[in-house]
Amino acid sequence: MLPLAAAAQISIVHTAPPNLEKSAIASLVFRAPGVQQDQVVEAYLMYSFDIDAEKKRKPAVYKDGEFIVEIDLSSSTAGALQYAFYLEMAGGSIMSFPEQDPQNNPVSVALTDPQVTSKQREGRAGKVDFTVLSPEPGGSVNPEDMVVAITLFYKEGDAAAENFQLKINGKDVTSEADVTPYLISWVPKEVPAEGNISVELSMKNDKGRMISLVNFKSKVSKKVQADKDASASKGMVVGNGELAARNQSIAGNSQDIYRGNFSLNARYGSTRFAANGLATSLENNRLQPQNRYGAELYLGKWFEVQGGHIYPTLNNLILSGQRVYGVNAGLYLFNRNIGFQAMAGEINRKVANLYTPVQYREQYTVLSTGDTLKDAATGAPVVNRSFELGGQANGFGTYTRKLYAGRFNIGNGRLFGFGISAMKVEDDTTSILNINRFNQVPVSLLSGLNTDQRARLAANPDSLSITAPAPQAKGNFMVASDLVINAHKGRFRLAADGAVSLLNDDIGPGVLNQQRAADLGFDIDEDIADILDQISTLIIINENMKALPIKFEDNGDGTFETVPFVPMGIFAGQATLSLNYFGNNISAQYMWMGPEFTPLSNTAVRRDIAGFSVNDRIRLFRNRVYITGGYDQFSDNLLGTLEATTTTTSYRGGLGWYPFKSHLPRINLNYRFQNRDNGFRAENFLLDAALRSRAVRSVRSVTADSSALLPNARFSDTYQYSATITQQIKLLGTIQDLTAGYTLIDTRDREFFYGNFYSDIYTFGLTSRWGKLPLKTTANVTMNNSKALSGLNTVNIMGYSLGAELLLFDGKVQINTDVALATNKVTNIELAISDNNTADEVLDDYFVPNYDNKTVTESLSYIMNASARYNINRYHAFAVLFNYTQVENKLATGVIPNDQILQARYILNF
Amino acid sequence: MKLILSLWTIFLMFTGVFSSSTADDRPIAIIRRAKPDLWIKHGKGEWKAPSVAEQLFSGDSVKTGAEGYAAIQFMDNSLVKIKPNSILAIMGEVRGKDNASTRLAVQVGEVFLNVTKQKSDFEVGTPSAVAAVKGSKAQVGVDQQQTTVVEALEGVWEVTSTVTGVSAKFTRGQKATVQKSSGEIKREKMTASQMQQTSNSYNNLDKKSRPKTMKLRFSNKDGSVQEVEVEYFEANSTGN
Repeated sequence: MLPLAAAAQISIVHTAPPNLEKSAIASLVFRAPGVQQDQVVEAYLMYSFDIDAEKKRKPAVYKDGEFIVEIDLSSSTAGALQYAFYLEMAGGSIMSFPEQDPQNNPVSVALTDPQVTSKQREGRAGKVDFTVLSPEPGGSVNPEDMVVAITLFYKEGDAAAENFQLKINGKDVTSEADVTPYLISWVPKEVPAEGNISVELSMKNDKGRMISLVNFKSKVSKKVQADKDASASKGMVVGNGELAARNQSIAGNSQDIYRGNFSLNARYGSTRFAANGLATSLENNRLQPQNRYGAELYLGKWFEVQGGHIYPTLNNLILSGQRVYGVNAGLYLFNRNIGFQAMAGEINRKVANLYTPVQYREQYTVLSTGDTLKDAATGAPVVNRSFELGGQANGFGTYTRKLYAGRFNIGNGRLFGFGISAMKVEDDTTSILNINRFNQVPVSLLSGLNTDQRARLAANPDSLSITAPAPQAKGNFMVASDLVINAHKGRFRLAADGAVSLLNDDIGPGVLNQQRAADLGFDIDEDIADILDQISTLIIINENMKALPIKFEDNGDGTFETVPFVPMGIFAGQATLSLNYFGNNISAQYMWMGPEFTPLSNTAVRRDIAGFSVNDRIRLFRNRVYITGGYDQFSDNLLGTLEATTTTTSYRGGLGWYPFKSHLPRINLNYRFQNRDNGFRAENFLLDAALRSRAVRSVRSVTADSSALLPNARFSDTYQYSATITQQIKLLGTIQDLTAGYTLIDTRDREFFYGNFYSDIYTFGLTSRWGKLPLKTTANVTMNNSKALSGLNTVNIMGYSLGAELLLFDGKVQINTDVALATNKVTNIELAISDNNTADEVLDDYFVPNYDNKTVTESLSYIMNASARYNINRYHAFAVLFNYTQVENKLATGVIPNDQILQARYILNF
Repeated sequence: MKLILSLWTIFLMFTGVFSSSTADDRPIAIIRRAKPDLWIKHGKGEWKAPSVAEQLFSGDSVKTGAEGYAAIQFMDNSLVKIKPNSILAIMGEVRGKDNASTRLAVQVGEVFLNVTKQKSDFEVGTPSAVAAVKGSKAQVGVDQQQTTVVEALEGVWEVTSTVTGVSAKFTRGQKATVQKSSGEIKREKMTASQMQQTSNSYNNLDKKSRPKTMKLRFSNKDGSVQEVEVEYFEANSTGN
């Protein structure tokens, strides 16, 4: 559990959208109040489509206090996007959203077919069809291209030109517009200012009432011109740079921090170049790099190279978005139907081990009589002399972890694509000093010894005891393949991946040879030893392999023989078939992920799991209504090495209503049932029936005087319900977007008395746009009550936040403020073990609540943020930010120091 | 077949003559962007300089001079960009939101077509060919010798020689050349840079169709200064 201060102060704020439209790039925005960019080592999203095992990793971009991740949904055929967001902090801690078990309970958002174009550009109101010619609803238009043009289709007599009314930004401009029976157009007298523009076309009906025909918003932005101008010319260079200085006081530690970063994009014809860099005074050679720089070059579609700190993808199972410091190059020929990719770099940089100087110790043996043991011959006390090499606090080092990879592909994936990849990841054992014996000790560490002691140690090197913790050097070799087949304009899609990963947990001893094998007590053939030696350039194989590719066979005479063996646990594979016909999105997936499939370059991949999943999503009423259903079943213990096999079975159902008209609510309802069962039930013949479900161990009577210990029962049902509703309300010229959500998770353990878990979360949000005022406000309330250990552990969180965004002077000044208040009450009663009054018998022990050790913590925290940005002109901007956090522990007398941050930034755009 | 196509082409070329009797009161397009040296003619009327958002009806004609440029948006959101030194007539009928037909008769010059996927056909006729499409991008050009060049930038285009009646389909990256003299349809492959060049040429014209502002500063003998802002357009031939 996090310390109270941390729990109260650090949390990631994110509002999951009720749905995301496909054929677009989705932007997911996360905020971590109180967290600054240079406190974060890595910020990334782990995501997958449906229940895909291939979790992809996408780094987040930090911009103006927000972490933004863009996901390309343009080619997705899935029904849902699952994601969890992670922040790896400089101090080593990891924050996530959602906070609780993000890997198994990620955020799930329905993916829906795009509606924007059809819903707003074309439509029908009453007896009138319309098509918006300009501007594009929801799109952007250059100020100089601003024209409103809407064409209407209706039968003669159903409408009349004199009954139309056109409003721009709420102002009636009908008299200025060119209104004809079938086309209404309006050209502004002056070039409009940048900002949002609302367009509303209404018609007076037979009863004299105005009914709205078309109502949409677009954005007037000079950026449209800039983009088009850029594309119009053969070349362009754009970029930005930023300098920031910050004073912060966090957890009582005051610090001045400086940061500079830049990005540059240049294009000439089909050649594109980009570069970026970040330098911060927080850079620390004891941590992984925080200073980042990278560059990339694309020559058309046939060649690309990236260098520096990059985030390449090779195969989703082995490398997908992990940060690499190195070079990645790709050569693609024949419309990318033949491709080669090569990569070299490191995924960890070296961090030196820090040792303390060798210490000399003399120890005397004290006898039970109290006398010191003495030499019988000389009568002098017997002295044990030893030397110790220890490590400094936080002096644990890391090897440079090097990566080499290559990939070859046939087919560009539009119809067919097949790729095969190979990757080697290995710690460079020469990158840092890792002392294992006396002759590796540098002279500088002997400074605490006198001449005699040094001589004594040199004469008796085995007397050196090395107590400093040492990293183990690892080696990993992976081969993976991927296949994709698309047919019938993407309605049929088959994607499959397979991979094998050989992992050596300690390559320090080197390649296993006959001598080493003999030392370990077995023999290997010379041929095998030669093979191991030859393949050592790819992977060093020795006794520390996660799964040995050899096994021992008993010769029957007390000796063992080694024979080559393929350990199945190192394999992983999955295949997904997607069909999109008759309004149905059907996907079926099978996966098999071996327990020993542990790629060092992709730690997020699930292991020791196999099973299948089937999902269907039905689109109805022109994609307004979605009905989803799914079933999946997965099991672990693929190699039978565990005591029991747990099978997880889930049923899912959902209903989504996404109406085209903005005044109607969008509703999303989801239900999930999950059962976990390992086939064992709570048994303990030593306990009464009432206590069996509380037993520490499962015990079965075998004979009158013998019993067997069984795996503990794992048998539970989880019910999950969630509902989200969003509603737009137009009131007195303002637009109010209201979101309400409810999630309930109820786990009922059917065998273990204290295994129940219950959580309900209520969220309410209101985003308001205040008519002509360039003001947007937000208000959010979150309430979360959870009970674990069948109610012994309770957490109650109430969170409130208010925010405002104000644009002044034609957008030159942007002011953001928000205030958040959270109360957090945690009650915890730990479980203790009762010996059932039989201290010598452990089999009849059972759990009891330890009410004497009840802890209650209650905190109240405030977070205030205020930032302002002044865009001096197109090129220069200046921004300041202030953040203040106060945490009060209401039940303790100790004072938790307040946090405050003051930051100034200069931004250059060019 | 050959006879039918020839007659149809003649109909396209001269339809403007009869258009005033067939055009209804529903516009089929609007001028979305206009750079001076651009002229339109409603039916048999006089050539005149149009304004942005001006409505175009079936039978109207459009002509651009050496500095002119126009982007025309049709009721189904299809967009046609007209290069300098072009003359064309537009025809069509709008029967409903999803039921419209559009025909361009290009006499000379070059046009870029970005046709919205629709139920009805979008056709471009020239003295030597007819190009038809559903939902696609292309450039169609006719030179003084009435040779037609269709560059398929997206989608599938069906090009028919009005001389021989022969049709051929062209996909992205292919160029059709139809000689008026022989009626032969020649197929060529375009490189990516050629396609990019075609797109860029229209983007450049788009850019130059936006007026720029120049400040003129006048000073009197007494030293008082007056500034006047003047809008101007960049010449089509510069800075390509």
